[in-house]
Order: sequence, then structure tokens, then C-alpha cells
Amino acid sequence: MKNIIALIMLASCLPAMGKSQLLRRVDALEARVKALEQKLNGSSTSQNGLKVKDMGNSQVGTLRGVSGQNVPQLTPEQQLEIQNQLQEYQKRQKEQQRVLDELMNDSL
Amino acid sequence: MIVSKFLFLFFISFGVFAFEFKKGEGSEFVMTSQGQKVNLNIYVTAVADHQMSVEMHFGTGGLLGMNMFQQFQMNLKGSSSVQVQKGYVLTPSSNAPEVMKDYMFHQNRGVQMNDFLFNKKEDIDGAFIGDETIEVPAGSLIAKHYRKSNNGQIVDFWISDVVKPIGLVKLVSTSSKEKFNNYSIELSSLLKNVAAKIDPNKAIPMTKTTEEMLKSDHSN
Repeated sequence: MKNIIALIMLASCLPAMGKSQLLRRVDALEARVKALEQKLNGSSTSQNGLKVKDMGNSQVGTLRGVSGQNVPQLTPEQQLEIQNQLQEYQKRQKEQQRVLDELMNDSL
Repeated sequence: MIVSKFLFLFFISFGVFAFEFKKGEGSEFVMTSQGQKVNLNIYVTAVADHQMSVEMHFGTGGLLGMNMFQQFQMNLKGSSSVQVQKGYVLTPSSNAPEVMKDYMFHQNRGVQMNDFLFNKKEDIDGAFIGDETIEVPAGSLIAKHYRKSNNGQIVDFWISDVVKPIGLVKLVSTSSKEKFNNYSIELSSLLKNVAAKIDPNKAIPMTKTTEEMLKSDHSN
């Protein structure tokens, strides 16, 4: 009888033990992923718990966008071309607005 | 475009917290203006007797991502307030850094760049509001809250010696007069070992194109 009770207890405890082990492994893996991410970004945490980025004597602004994301960027020539086109578009829009305003004033 | 706003926004606290300036150290901020988010990096590029150079980088992400740099050389000599001696700018359309013109250090349209160059404790004491706990992307910390205003622009800013050498934790600027003076800046990370982008020895006089571009930005 004692053996049966012991077996039942063991059987009920095993899944719980397995689960807690699994959770510990997940926590450890999460910590490892976080550490690897920080290593990749060159970032760590200061004594005061603030984020610190070590640039390793490289310049800022190289292929980095807002929040340090890697953003595919256009070449400077392409950017200039698009900016020129945008300026042209804005100019045309202003001109159209001016003509419309004149027409409105004329009709009044 | 909000990129050249930083011509007028220059924030560093020198003698007030007795910071030690080390080459390559600085801060990364996220600046929000008119719904746009911009990366702002400020870091020390050179330290010598009674002189120091600080570089600022503005970077926008997205399809039209661009980078713009500015470097200021400052005189720290004597007890008089810190003054900017020389300034350089490197725009996306220029291959070489360009020497900034003196009038660009003063905008006369709100809080001035030199309003943020604090050399003595008295320079800043009158603007103190109180100690506050601030939550920024870099983390949470206790900082000193100050407020300065001029010509319709109100600037609330939080400073802490924990985030030396730049000292700035957060800044919120509001203006009813000028749209371009409405923005906020939050510390996203401390920086170390940053290399300078601008080499002052390679600087050329400012071209008309760059001057016009910077002028048109200010009028936005």
C-alpha cells in the first residue's frame, strides 16, 4: 500500500518538476538571446540600469535608422532625385493653389 | 524638414555638475517633431587644455533616410561662460565638411544655443523646478527639472549627472510662435567609443547651396 501511495505521489510530482525545469531552461535561453542581442548591437547596461552602446571607435549614422534599426537606404543620388521631385511637386501644388485662389477671387 | 533645427539646439552642462569629458563618450536621443522621429547623437570628439569639441549627428530612417553632422569647437578658458568658437556642418549633399557662419549660432527666434551652455551653477539655479523621476527609452532615473523661456518658446529640460558627459535626460520645447520650436528629445542610450565624422582640417568654406538649405529649414 505504501509503495502504491509513493508511486502516485512521484507520478504527480514528476510533471511539475519537469515543468519547472522547462521554465528554467526557457528563462536561461531568453537571457542568452538577450545577451546575444546586446552583443550584436554593442549595447549593455550601466551600473544605474541605463542602456549603453559601445561603438567600438566607429562613426554613428552608418546604416542605422531610428531606434538602431537597420533600414535599407537609397543612395545619396537617389535621395537627391526624390527630394528634387518632391520639391517640384510642392511647387506645382502651390502654383495650382494660387491659380485656384485667383479664380475664386475673380468669381466673387 | 527638421534636420537643421539642431543648429540652434545645443545642450551641454559644463561646470555645473563638474563632469569629466572623455573623447568618444556621449548620448543618443530620439527627437520627435511634427510626428517625425529622428535619431540625435551628441558626443565628445576632442578634449584639450581649455578646449573641447562636440559633434552632433542627426539621422532619419525610412526610405529617404539621411545623416547630417555638426561639430562645435568650444573655449572653456577662464570663469566666463562657455562660448562656441567654431562650427562645422556636413550635409548629405556635400562631400566635405563646411565651416559654419557666425550668425548661425544665433537664431533670435526663441531660446538661444548659448542658453544651454552652462558653466556656472548660478547660470542654471534660477530655472530649477525640482527633482523628478523620469522614464525615458534608456531607462528610469531621478533628474533635475529646469525651465527656460524666451520669445514665446518654453523649454523644459531634465538633467542628471548619471548621464554624463552630456547630462541631458529629456527636453520638451513648446512655442506658439514658431512651429519648428515644438519638439521633444528623450535619452535612448549612453554612447562610448564614438569616432568623429567631421575632420575640421578638411573643412571648406560654406557653399551657397548649404547656406540656403539651412536657411529654408529654419523658416519651416
